Amino acid sequence: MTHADARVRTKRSWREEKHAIPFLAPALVVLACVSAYPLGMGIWQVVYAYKALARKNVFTGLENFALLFKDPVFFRAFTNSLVWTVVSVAAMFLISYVLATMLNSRYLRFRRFFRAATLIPWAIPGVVVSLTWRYMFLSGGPVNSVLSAIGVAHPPAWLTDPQLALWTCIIANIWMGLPFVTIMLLAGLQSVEGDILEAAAIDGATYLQSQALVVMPSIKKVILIVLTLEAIWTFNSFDIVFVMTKGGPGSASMTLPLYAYQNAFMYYQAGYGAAIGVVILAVLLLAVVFYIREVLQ
Amino acid sequence: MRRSVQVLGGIAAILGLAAFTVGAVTLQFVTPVWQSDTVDVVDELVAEWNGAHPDIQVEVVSIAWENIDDFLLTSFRGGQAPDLFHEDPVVCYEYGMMGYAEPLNAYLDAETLADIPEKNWAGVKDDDGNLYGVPFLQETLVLFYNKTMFADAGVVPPADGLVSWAELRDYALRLTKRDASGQVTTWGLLAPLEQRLWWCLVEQNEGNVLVRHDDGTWHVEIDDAAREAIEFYTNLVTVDQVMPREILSYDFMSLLQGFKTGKYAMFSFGCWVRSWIERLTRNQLDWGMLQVKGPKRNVTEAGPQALSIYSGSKHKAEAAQFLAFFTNTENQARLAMADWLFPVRESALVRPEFQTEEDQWNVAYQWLEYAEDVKPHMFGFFAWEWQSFIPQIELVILGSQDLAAALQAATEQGNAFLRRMGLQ
Repeated sequence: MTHADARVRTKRSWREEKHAIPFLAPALVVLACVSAYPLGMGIWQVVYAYKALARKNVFTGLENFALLFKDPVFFRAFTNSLVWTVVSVAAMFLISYVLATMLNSRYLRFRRFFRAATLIPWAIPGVVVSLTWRYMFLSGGPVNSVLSAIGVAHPPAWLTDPQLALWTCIIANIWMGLPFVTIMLLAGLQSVEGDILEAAAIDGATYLQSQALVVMPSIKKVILIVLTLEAIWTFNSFDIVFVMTKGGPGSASMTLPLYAYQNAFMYYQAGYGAAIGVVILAVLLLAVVFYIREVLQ
Repeated sequence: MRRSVQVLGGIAAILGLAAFTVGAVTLQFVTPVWQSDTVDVVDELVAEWNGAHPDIQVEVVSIAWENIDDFLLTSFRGGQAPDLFHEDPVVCYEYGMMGYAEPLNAYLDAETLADIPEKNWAGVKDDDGNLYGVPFLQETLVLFYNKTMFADAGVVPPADGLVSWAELRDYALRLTKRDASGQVTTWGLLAPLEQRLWWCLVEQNEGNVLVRHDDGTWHVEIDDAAREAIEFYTNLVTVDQVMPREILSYDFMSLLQGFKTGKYAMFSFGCWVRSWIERLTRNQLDWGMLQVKGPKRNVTEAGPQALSIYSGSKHKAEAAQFLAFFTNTENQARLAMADWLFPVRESALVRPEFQTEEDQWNVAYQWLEYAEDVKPHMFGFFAWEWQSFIPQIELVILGSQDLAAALQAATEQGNAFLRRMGLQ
């Protein structure tokens, strides 16, 4: 196809597609109202800050961004968010892959029951999950009671130890994210033809080699979709840390979405919160670009 | 003919009812009350009001204390806020500073102004004298103690219930019990960080943490008296080991269960918790209350509450009428009694039911003279406290940082935060 052909084709497709605009317009208007307008307002807020003695919002230019880079809590929250996302998604994938493989096995009895049961955590609201896990990990809660019963003299303070607080939240997040990843991987595994696995076995491949070299490449697209979506959701996740530790102790389990929320809705610093929101947006855009390029095309 | 008259009469009645309904004003009233008895009283009062004022109807919206700040803030910014709201006085003042709460001076009569002590008005007042709320409930922060455990340990508290810092530490040391492996089985004291016993200690020692300069700016300047008070509090965890780290993150029901089962010999909370102890222990536990006596002055946290009106409300006058009804002497007393708190109005406070021996009202009442809002009256106090100060104190309690370094960091980060807030 020459450049001239391409231009003709582009013109023709535009002539055809412009007829779709009136039909798309209502949806585009709604999208603009519920998505573009708040996004624009959020970004606009970045250049303002409420000054208490002046009793008004003052234009401060890019000062909110400059302050971010001097704020140790912001850096802690950024690092925590990366750890929170990478560890959660990696663990979700590994555990879910094992679960999906088991649920896909023809030798598993009550397979339908287990498949349905897998979805249970997904049916529970995030706040309820968070409250339940918070209760489990209280210093006198069930987890420590079990540890004491089996002879652990000093069970850890899961929610108040700065070394453990974030990891405790990660455990709850992994539990909550497992159903989606498991079901998606299970759908992918069901599309893998048994013949291919049999051929691999005849060629002398071990079980692990079959999984790594045959099954995983076959469902690569599903894996990419799941990992990308889960990474976006996890990075943006708010409820678990908010309910379980509120980012504490200190800022030990603070994540960027929680820090943005606290500044905007508790500390009267909407501009500063919006600046953190813009940083979150920039990080997530990277994932979205990857998603569009590698997964959808 | 007769049928036509009936039909016309029916139509006229419907039109009249419709006109009446259209003409009625509906006020939204957001409240975080949650104890069932208090919820019942609020519903009763609103029903009484609605019955007597068909042209001004009130609709109650219940929100948890944990969510009311962000609910109101987002509502204000969206321009769709409730007409009336129930909040901490310092938050009413902050909303007033931001233009969200209406100055109420014009709506308050002389009797109301005179009936509420100045120390309570101070919490909702700005520098220009604008009042952004009507204080109506208060409490005393007390120490609940297990009388049986005290007797077993040979601890005899003073008859007036006022214990010095040294006595508090001594009691906690004697009441803390450990098993053979050294694990604590009974903690002498549990004073949750968010209940602000430590702020009371700072005030009792006449210490300063936040200081307002003559030019109106605020600064974090932690003096030796404040340092001594904070050190006394954190040492109970780190040095004396009579208080658990759970003060950082506690569960209310676990705390009560712990008190019931002897896990905690003393705990610090608002006097309203008497209702929960009564409910939970059903007279099976012999308990009492103590008050910490300061080295320089006696102060206890009042934990005050106030009602305020949204500045964007289209029915401010009607909202002010309801507010006056809701906080009058009779109704304030009913609300306080249901919530096991004290009314702020002096005319309500003198009622005998608040001084009866039953449910130890008289014990909590005697310390009301020391009750004040120990939080400095600064815009953004909660934000400053939870973003820059508490995190440092938490690190000391966890043993991750020594107090001197923590207070140094709290000073630097706190002043940076105050600059960001436009308070310097």
